[in-house]
Amino acid sequence: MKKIFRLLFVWLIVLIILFATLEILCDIYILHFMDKGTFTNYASVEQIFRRVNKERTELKATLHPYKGYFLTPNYTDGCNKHNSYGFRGDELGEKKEGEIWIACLGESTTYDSDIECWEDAYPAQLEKTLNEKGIKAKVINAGVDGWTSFEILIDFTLHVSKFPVDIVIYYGGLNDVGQTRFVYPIPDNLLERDIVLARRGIDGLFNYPFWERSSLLRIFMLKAGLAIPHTDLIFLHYSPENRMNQFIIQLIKGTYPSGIFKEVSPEKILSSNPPIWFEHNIRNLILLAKSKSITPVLMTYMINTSNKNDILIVPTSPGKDILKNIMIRGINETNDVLKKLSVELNTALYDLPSYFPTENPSLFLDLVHNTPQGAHIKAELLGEYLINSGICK
Amino acid sequence: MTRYFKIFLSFVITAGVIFVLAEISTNIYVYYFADEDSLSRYASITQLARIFNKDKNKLRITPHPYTVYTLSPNYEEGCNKHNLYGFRGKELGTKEDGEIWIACLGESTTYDYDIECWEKAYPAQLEKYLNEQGVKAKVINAGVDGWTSFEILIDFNLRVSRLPIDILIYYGGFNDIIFTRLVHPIPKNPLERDITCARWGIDGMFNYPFWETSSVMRIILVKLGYAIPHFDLFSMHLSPQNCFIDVVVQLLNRSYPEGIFKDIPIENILLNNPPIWFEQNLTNLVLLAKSKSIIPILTTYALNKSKHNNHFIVRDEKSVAIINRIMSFGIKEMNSVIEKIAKEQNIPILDLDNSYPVDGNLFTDLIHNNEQGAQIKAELIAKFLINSHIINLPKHD
Repeated sequence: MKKIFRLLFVWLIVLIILFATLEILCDIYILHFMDKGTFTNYASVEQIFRRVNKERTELKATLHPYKGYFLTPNYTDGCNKHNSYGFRGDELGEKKEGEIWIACLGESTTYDSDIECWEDAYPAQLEKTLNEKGIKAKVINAGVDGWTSFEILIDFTLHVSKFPVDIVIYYGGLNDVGQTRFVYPIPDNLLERDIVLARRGIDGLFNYPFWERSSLLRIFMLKAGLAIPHTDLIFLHYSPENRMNQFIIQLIKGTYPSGIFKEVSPEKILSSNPPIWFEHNIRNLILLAKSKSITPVLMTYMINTSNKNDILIVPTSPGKDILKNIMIRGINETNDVLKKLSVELNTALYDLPSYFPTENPSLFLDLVHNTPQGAHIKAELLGEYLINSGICK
Repeated sequence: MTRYFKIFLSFVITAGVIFVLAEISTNIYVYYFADEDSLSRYASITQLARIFNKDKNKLRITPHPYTVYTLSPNYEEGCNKHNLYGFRGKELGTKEDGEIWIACLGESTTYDYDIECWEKAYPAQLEKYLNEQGVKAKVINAGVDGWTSFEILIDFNLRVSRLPIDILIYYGGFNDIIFTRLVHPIPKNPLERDITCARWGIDGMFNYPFWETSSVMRIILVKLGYAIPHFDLFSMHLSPQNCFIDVVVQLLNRSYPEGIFKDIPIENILLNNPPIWFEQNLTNLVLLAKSKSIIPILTTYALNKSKHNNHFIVRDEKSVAIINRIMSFGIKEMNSVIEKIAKEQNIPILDLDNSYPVDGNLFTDLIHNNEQGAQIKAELIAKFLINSHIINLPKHD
């Protein structure tokens, strides 16, 4: 009996030492030797912070005190680059006499994150189009993937409005639908509806099970699809009432509707949380732009209406179609808000979906992101609108 | 030799086991039993995040995605309370006909951090005074300790401006000096001067030596004054180029000036980093308020200019004199910006700096008022609002 106990004890100690050694080696590998792509997939929240702390220009995005994260200034990767102010593209230089500066605000559909080279993104192509038509214009790509109208408004207020911008173009709404509206339950009193109901601060990043603190277990679970990368926790920092992750996971696993969605449909969640934050933020963006003598231009959001290349996160039907229909519904609502604000505040609006060939799948890489050719058409259409409406003279 | 090795091994194992047990017990204590003060002093940044996760409103402040932290809604302690919107004071209710809503934006000197009861803070006393004059006014205390013009502008942009406000009063500038201006070196190009030169995101909260991950070590180090509480890392999230903590530590250790300050005096650091962010934020605040038909009112910042109760963090005479010299220099610049914006934007300004009594008995330190001081501040602001006809007194028959 004593011998068995001793053997068990030795085994236990050996296992603990082995686990601890593997854990230490794994941590060293993650922190010091993993390439960027793998690192962002497998590192823990703490490891990401420590590495970002050490080398702030290594990753595409850097953490920011008020916007969550922003584009890393002077970042380069192949034919992609950010300038020293953290905008995708070339250095801005000084504003020349007679030059028009246009800032394109938005999400990944403005950064054009699926387009490899910065010169093929729609803002760079807009600059080229306008220049070819004899207009001395500089176009700033101020789009950042994952940003909602909150980050865009804050960035415009703190950063973009410091530049001698003449025109500001807003194109967005999808992230507001996906990241801020899937909240259930939500207070009836509209003024009690603070953004913390949808997104949290630092507390939202540590909302993972304690076993994911172990690098070994975390990597194993991520590989098995049983956990989400901690980078997503940093980007999304959802509140527990934000149901988007559950919705996506259920659609991917084919278990939808289960859990909360047995009680309440995603349509009901959206209708109980209308885009009041989006409306407030875009209104303030317009008001502030106008008060700084910047012409605001709103552009309604378009969706790939063909049935090809129309994936958004969920790769297969029926999940793909359920998500697509919900996002279309949400986008229609945010587009309605843009139209309403345009009338109320007498602001220019370009109804992009009415002119863009959205039924052509070769212009899209997924449900919302353009190919370089799609970005080119978007830029040309917008350029024509800016000229024909007399905004760019 | 084998005997010595056995003794050494059992000593190491015993020490290891004791350390692990102490670590587990300390973590359990911090996580489950520590009161608010102990939590803010001894909890690690990850423990704080997990505590906030479990009970978002456990502490007086709570994390926020865009202002880092904000006041916990429905928080109550003794005679202090926050309403359900997270403003210090009672519930707002709905706006009545003919009622004027005033929002006081600012820092700890608006929250009135050293005043225990919410009713004695200056915004609540302003409401009381105006009501006594027959003015139907509701005053919102939107001040939050530690906030700079960045958080104040963001909060106004996202939250305060959703309320039916008629007038906003801005009182601040001190935190902008200590948290955003003591940065060295700083890029020469003003457009490259992003706030990330002074403050970082959540990564800035993880900028501590690895041994502070241990709760036992951290508590010992904080108690001995060799480490700063992680709660401060959370609330300040300073960049490595921000030398505010260095100034404070050197003054506390009475070793100032050393290190960076031997090469460059603090006044020069301030001069190299003029209040361009403050000016931009305040200008945007004023423009946004005007565009929403809210009357913005600026007030200059009043330091305690007496020789009594004029300390800030440090208390020895020499250090107090140094802090006073630096802060007077900084506040003078901030007040110049406030005056410049008021003139440029043609908006009312109350010169509290020159109209507030020089009396140490109205202060608890260099900047914070006591109840009596807050009452005088409230009265000065109310009289300014009435005399400059921003608020009209009801006509009597």
